[in-house]
Amino acid sequence: MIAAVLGQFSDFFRYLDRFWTGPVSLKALSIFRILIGGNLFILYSIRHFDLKFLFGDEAVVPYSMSLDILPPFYKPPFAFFPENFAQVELFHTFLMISLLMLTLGLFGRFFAIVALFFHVAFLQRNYAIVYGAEIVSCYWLFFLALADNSRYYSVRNLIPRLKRKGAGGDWLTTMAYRLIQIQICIIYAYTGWEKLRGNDWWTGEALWLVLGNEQLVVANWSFLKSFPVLLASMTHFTILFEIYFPVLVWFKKWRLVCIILGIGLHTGIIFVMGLFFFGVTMMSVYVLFLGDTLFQKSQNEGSLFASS
Amino acid sequence: MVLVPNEKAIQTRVAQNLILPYLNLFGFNTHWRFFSPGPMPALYMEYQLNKEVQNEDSTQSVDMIQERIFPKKKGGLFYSSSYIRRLYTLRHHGFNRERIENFFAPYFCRIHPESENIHFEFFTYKIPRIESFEEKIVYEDLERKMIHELNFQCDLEAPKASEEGKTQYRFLDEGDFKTEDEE
Repeated sequence: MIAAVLGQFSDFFRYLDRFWTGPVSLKALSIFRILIGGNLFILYSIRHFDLKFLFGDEAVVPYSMSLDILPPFYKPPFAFFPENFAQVELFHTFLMISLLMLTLGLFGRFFAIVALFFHVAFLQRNYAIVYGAEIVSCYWLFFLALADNSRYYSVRNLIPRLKRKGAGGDWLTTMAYRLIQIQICIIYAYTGWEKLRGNDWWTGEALWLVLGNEQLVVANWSFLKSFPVLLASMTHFTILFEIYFPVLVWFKKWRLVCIILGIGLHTGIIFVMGLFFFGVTMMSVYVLFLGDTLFQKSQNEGSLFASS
Repeated sequence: MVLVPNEKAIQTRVAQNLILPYLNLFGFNTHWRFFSPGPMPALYMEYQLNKEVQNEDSTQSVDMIQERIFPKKKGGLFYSSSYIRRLYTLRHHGFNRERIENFFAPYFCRIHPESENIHFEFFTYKIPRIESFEEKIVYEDLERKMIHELNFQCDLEAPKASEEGKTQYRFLDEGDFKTEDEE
């Protein structure tokens, strides 16, 4: 009996080893890289025309008070945001260049780090204008910096001298891959649990309150008041999706269903509220869950604990 | 990843001195509250630029220069990044009187140097329940619910709010939103 129990533990640790350091789909990771890099590049290209209001001398938050708008719990240990408008323009240009390089797959890890640096610099400069896509992208850029993210679908592969040989991937890449998957589950879980504290979500009126908020929606959706049961059902579906996704997505039988429902949710948000960039930031992770199904796994050099 | 979204938890309080510096450095410290616990109401801001004028009988009065809305109403069907950023700026500051006085109001003084006094009104509309709704939302007909109302002296050296300012919401932590009635 002891041998059986020890056998179970051994199987469990072997599973963990395979999960955290085994082969993963580098093609899926490369698609993720393109989606995130391209999404952020377009978002910040649009933002580039508004730098004066957002980060310049004429911004709501003066340079000297950039960190003062953050509660103590959120203050960074040191700051590296641009301190005058010339630096703002320079930092933003470098940010866009690094995102473009990342999207094209040129030295993916390096440019992910560079992009993360400038991305966080602007978060520190003016946190008041930050929204969901930018906060979530911090995580994705960090994990991309750890991963071999430009093995496929990279401009580098078009240049024979720069094309890398070998299947690629390493245990750090797998860890980053898994951390991205786990992070999206954490985001959905906390958001869903937090919604359970809200009376509007229990009564099914939360979606109506969003649709009725002209500041948030791109069109007048008040005609939907004729379908109250539908609205209430969609409200409850949102909570159920966010709470159960983190668990069900790990089961092959439910994975595709979860992803299809997630695409439906975020596509609805894009059409109703116009939050295109946030939707892409969240949906881009789904390709990592489908990596095993859509693509062949990489041949990693070996797991951390077992020999290759 | 797991601890900091629940910032008030004992585990987070125990571990925060160790992990917070790293998390805040990378911008990882955030609570995931997308429309949670409930959708935030719309927040509107109207402001009035005033200038003190000397009357013929040597008394002083206040003349209104201009009335404006921030952010300007978006037009068109599609998403406007510029509008959304300004809206988020308003929402970040507008529910918190301290932020209004320290950041928001002085900003408007800077961009309107011609005004000596700015009157701010921050308000929201109560969206009717779905069952009692008319054919179409006409926002101007909805009941206004004042959140903050204050007169701000644009003294370049030390801008400050006058004592006549009223607040119907107490100082809040980031992300919280309660009225005195709901407590």
